[in-house]
Amino acid sequence: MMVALMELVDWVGLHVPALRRARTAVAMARSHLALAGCEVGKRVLVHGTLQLERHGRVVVGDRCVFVAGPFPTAVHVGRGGTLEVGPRCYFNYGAQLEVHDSVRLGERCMFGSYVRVTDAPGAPVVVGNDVWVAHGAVINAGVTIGDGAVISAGSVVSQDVPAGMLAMGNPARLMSQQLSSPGGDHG
Amino acid sequence: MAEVVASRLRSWIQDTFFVEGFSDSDSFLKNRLIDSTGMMELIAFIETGFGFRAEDAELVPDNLDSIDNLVRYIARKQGGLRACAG
Repeated sequence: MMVALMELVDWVGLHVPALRRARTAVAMARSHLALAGCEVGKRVLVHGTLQLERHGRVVVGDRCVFVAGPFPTAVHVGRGGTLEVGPRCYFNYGAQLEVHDSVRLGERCMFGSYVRVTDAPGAPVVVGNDVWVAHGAVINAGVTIGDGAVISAGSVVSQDVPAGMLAMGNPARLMSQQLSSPGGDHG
Repeated sequence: MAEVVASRLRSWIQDTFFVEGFSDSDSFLKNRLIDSTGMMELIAFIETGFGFRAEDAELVPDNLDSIDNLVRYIARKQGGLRACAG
């Protein structure tokens, strides 16, 4: 009943601007439920479903947003694993974070829909600040991504990406961000 | 030699991206002839078509963003290959 009411307020808030604050309040309340047992910062918003399977440590920074959509965002943190999400990160729907050792995401990163990030024991993942990971990209274990890098849609990243570079393709190749479209379309 | 390379590049770009009416000095990106995904196709084409591996650091507009730039880049790479072989 409570969940149904929250869904209703969420939907109405999406379509009626005057009720946007109510929608935000629901998303904040949902973050406490969905991220129960995690170290959660201020004003974290969870719109829609967030599936969390937590056997390790999860830290979510201030003002992170998890967007609703046709598929839930799924977070799995195995025993002894640590997931650290920096402040103001944005996750579109269907993102998958699978942590066995350590995944550290910087500040103000954007993760598109269906992005997958996974590490492995002894092969942590580190993502810098202001990184954009576009729709459907896969970041594999052991990868470090530098500040300001862009991972193009559908790319599979198995090697480190230096700061400010564009990674594209499967396997992803590195190139200057100036080679993306003038409008900043990375696919 | 440069004319042959330019002609081959122009034909491939026209056939692949259905664009025409551009000069050898026109920027592919500024004129929206090729997008970022197209750049990947272009890189794959020059690697297979001209027989060298483009290094990550070389994937910049100065090398790839016009036919003129591509001709110079390909000549430089092939010159390097010949020097290695010789």
